[in-house]
Amino acid sequence: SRVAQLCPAAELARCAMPYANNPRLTITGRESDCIKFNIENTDLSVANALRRVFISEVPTLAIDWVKIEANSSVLNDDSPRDCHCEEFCPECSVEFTLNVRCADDEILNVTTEHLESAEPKVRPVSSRRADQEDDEAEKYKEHEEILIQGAREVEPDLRRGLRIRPGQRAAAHHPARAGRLAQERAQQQLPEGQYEAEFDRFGKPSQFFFTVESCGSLQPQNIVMSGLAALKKKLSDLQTAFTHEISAAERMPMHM
Amino acid sequence: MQDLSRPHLDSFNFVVQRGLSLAARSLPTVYADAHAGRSRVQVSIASLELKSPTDELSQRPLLPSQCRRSGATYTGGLVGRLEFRVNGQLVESLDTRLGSVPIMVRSRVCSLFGKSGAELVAAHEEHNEAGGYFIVNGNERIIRMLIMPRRNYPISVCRPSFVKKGKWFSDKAVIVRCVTDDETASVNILHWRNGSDPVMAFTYEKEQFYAPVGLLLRALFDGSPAEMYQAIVLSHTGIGSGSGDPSLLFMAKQALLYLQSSDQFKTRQSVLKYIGHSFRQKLRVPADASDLDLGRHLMQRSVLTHCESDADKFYLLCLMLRKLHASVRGLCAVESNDSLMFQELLLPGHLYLQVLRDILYRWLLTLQRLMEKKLAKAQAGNQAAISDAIKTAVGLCSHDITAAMENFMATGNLNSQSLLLLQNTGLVVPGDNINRLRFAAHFRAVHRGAFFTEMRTTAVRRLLPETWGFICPVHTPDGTPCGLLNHLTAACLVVSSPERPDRASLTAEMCLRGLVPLNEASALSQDLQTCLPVLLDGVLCGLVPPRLAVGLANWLRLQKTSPPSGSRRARLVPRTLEVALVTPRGAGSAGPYPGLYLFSDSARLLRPVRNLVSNCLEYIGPYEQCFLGIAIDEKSLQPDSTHCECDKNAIFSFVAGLTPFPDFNQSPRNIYQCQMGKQSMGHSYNSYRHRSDNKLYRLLCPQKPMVKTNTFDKYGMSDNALGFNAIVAVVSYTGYDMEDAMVINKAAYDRGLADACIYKSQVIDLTKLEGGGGGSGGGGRRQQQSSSGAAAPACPLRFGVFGPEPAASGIEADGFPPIGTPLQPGDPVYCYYSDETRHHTVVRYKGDPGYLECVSTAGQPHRATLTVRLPRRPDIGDKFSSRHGQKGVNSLLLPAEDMPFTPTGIVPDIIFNPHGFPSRMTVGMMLEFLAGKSAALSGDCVDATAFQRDGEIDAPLFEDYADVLQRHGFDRWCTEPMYCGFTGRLLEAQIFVGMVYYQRLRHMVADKFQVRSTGPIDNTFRQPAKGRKIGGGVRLGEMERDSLISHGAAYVIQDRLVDCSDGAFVRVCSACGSLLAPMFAAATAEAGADDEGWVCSACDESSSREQQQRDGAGSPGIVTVRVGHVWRYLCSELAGQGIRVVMDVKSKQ
Repeated sequence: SRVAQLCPAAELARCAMPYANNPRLTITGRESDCIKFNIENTDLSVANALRRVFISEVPTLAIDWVKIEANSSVLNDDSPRDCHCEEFCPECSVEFTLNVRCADDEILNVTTEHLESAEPKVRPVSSRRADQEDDEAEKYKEHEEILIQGAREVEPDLRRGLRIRPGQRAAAHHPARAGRLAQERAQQQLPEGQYEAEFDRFGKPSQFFFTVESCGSLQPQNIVMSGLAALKKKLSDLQTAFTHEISAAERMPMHM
Repeated sequence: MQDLSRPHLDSFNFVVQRGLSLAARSLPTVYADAHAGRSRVQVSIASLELKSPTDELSQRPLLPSQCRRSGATYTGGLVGRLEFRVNGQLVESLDTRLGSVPIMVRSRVCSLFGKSGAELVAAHEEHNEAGGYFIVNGNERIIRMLIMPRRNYPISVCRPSFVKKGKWFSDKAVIVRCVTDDETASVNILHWRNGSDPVMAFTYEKEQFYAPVGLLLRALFDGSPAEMYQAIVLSHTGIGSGSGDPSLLFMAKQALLYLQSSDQFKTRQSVLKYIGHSFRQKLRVPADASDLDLGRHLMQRSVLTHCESDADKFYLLCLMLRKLHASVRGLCAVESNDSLMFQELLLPGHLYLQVLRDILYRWLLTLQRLMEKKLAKAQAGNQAAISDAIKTAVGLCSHDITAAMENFMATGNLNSQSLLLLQNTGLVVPGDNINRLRFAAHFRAVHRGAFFTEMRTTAVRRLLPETWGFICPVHTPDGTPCGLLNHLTAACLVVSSPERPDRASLTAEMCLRGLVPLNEASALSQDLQTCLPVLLDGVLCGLVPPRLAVGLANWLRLQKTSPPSGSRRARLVPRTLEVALVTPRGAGSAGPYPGLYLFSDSARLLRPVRNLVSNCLEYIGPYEQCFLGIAIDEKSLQPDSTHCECDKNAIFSFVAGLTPFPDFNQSPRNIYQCQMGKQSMGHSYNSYRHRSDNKLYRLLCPQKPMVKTNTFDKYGMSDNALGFNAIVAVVSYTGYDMEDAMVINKAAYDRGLADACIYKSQVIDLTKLEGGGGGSGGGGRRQQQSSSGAAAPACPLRFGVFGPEPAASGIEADGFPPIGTPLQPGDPVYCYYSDETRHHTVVRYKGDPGYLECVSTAGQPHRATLTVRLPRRPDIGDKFSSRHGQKGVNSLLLPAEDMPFTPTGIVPDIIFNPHGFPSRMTVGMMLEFLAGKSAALSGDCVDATAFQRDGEIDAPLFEDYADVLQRHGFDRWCTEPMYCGFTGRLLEAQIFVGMVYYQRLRHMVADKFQVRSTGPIDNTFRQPAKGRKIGGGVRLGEMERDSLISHGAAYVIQDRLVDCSDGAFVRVCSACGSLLAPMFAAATAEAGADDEGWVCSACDESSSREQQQRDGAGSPGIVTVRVGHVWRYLCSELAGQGIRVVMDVKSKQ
């Protein structure tokens, strides 16, 4: 396991909070879609701030608008449209083209594989796996999501525009499904009269266990790093604002 | 699912197959005299037939989906064979289309009859379309089932209102509702008169008449008075004071005493003549009919109509007399119409037939009038002229039938002259389709009658033990219709067409087993005194000695339940026969009137139980159920048990059977759930895109419940699921969940939890617009004609954009915006072109913002159906409920990071306030938390049917679920530690978290919110108008005003009741106090002065300054005060009544 200094907390400790602790972070496990670590020697509020930031502040890419020009499949095209652009604009959208025709008598599975992206960097979520970041599409095929299962009569001819929405709160597609913050605890019922430890009503939590799970669109470590960066930015913005306020207050002392 | 509408379908099929021909037979022959009375022309309807609906243009079968889409009525032709006779000679028989009448979907004459699931889907229906409803103007309408008194059974009643009917009348009577084969009903009431002979009330054409019972007995029976006397006192059936009860003998003598009063009453013929003579003015028969025929006609039409022969009528009347006597003497109990024992249903088909028959009857009367007019002009001796005149007359009044039948179906109102019903409105109800449950429940609903809703007593609403197994005790609405609108249980059947046993052969068989037929019984012997009467469908078959009665009843029951024999011969005893043996009680207790009652007629309720003797399934009725010993299960068999229930859940209706764990809940909660289940949004159709109902709700991601009952699977409800499984935490968390409010996770909302939409459709008919072919002033009849296709003028309006004239942006060449266009109020929604004016007209969208979902023109140029989808994401203020009567309003969409979370990172979808539990006691819901959580963990659905482990205290259900939870590493009792989402702190209590199936109810703020600062006002009162549609306000009523007064919030009252309402400056004359007299006289007005120039027309007081100065401060003259405008209006109204209102005005100092 690796041990690393937690940047924002350490920075805070240096400049704003001289009496702050020196937190220690231990990464206890890392998988393709999940990272586990624990933080010691810090306050509950810091740990909770991290949890909240992982859930809500990580910048994501989300499908916000799907435009279907012609739909000859059996599926409904129910497309929400709250974009303020007139049409697609290349600034805010990536065009995927789906143009498949079923020529055989066999059933054809139309999957995300058939979506042709205009922008090579943007690919459908399910074709990307953390350990195959740079590999080519060949390995992915079995993981494709089935979009349409069509028999011969169906000729899916869909052109989809996917709009990237950079900011926060594209909550419908959270990369972090759930942040876990818990003392790992054996989920067993203890016999009557037994307890795990002496109850300390004045005790304060000092160690926090995180499990960050990703739905696959972002790697878990990226979620953590982006989250930290977001928190750091918030704190520095706050500090800047404070500095301005203080200097403004000094310039104009309050009159009674 | 298809079984649910069986009573509706089967009864309509009965109409198609047999009812119509029976009705044709019972319709009268109309006649008119031609050749100055030398020849009589008669017209009768020989047969009637319903044709399958066909498309007028293409002559192909018309499909129900086409009618729904285009707002048309699903009708089929009513073809009648009219027979014309001249002087009794058949001249011509003519097959005429009498009109188009609404056809029940999926009935025998429906285009969908016999189609398989795949064919139904091809016809744009559901694969399991059950039918049972009508389509009128594109709307689905259902004939409501009503409770009726049991037919052909004399009920002894006690009603205080009878005393008021006349001199000597007592409150006791025996009522029999007679129903003939063609389902025509008439009521006979045998009244007891204190100290006099009983009289019988009968009706003819809705008018009630009374006749002494002796007269009727004489008119029905050929024998001597002594024989009549013996027939009356035939048997006292083992109740009362034993042989030869002197009061019974006295009653019989008194009943016959009337016949002594005149020589006219000596023989049967003379009595019939007397009756015919007395009623000549009232009866609709040819003027030259004899008195004897008239008397016979009246007896046939009005007295005990269900009996075919006069002898049957006579013996039944004697039995009624004996029963009346017993009930007056207190020897038998008074029966009540409110008990299901003495009730049956008015089935949709039967009502349809009665209404149709009534309409045809009125049509025949119109025809008669027209024929008289036409034939008077016809040339003498000209056969062809007569025939022509008749045909013209038929043609002239034929569209009446179509219009009358459609009007009945569209409004549910009845204006009938001959139909005897307690209500004339609300007979047909719209089949609103909020979800499948609601729609299906319409077919099981049974209404007691609109008459009873106004009754102040609660006796009719009471749930009586007789209803066990037939009427669901849970599924009734709370509020006004509580107990009046009931629902049949899922297992309950209704006999739709009678399965009559052959009476002669059945009587012969019964005679072998102790029955004494009437002709032998009339030889009065002591032994017969205690014999019980045997009634088959209200006809006395004979008497049976009490010692043989049980054996006879058992034999009948055995025959009834025996498996069908190999022979083709019809069963002697039908499976639907109701066999009720009522044996005499011991002295001192008045039981029901003894007898062996057999019912084989239609409209009765039946339910399956297991016969313990033959170990077969037996269908029992509500009457016989009261005299059987039915054990609830094998364990609780008693020595006198004859039957055993098939299923403990058989007491529940289809809707009530869907509630999970109802046996753990406080009972009213289950009633509430039955209501809310029917209000929740769900997936009503798989054929959404072929529907164009006025309003359709759709839950976009419906799920099947993980905790479900066996009813759910039995009726395939997963096809039409109406809710979603939600992770629910019971915690008081943000303060936003007080008072039944609930908090929803914002992330769950973003993922589409409870997402729904509404489809609204409207039919646009250009012919009905100004300038269209139908004409705005044409009225109903003209449109009626144009829709029937007879020379409809071509409509100059059609949809589309023609020529270069630019239509509004977004409208395409067909005259509509493309599918999927977002529509805001004011956006162009369709465009039509007039060939006359050569102009386009663009119509703007009114209504809530939505998306154009579908445009359907069905190939017609001037008729289109537009469907708009209104998105309805869950909003703050929307209503949700679990399946345990626990409704709540969403009060907050809380971001996921702020929601409480468990150590495993699970965030609930919904937060439910724990205060919802203690007083409601919905333990079933707590159990659902447990069961739902275990189901989610194991992946298997949990069976939540009621009464699963009844009485097994050692192995309760929840232990199983707790074991599953423990196996998966959770707390046994569903609790988990939770952390606060805002601070990250551990919540002090363990939180009850589980999975509950939630329903989204259709009440949504987006459809209800009302905002107004200023807006429309009422023209008369100048107060703000009400109504959401017109932008009106919400009333601040007396109680609201009272609370403001008690708070001393004077300025708020001033603001609400005056400034924002009808506050007005009015002039009052301070001298005479009149509000109305001050007039503006411009001549005296000085420039610039507001109050100048007003003169009181009553007392010459003026508002001028000089006068004020002259009179000093004491009289301010005409002054301006601020009051509500309604006050002035009231003063004017009072002045109109000659009442002067004086205001005492003083200047403020």
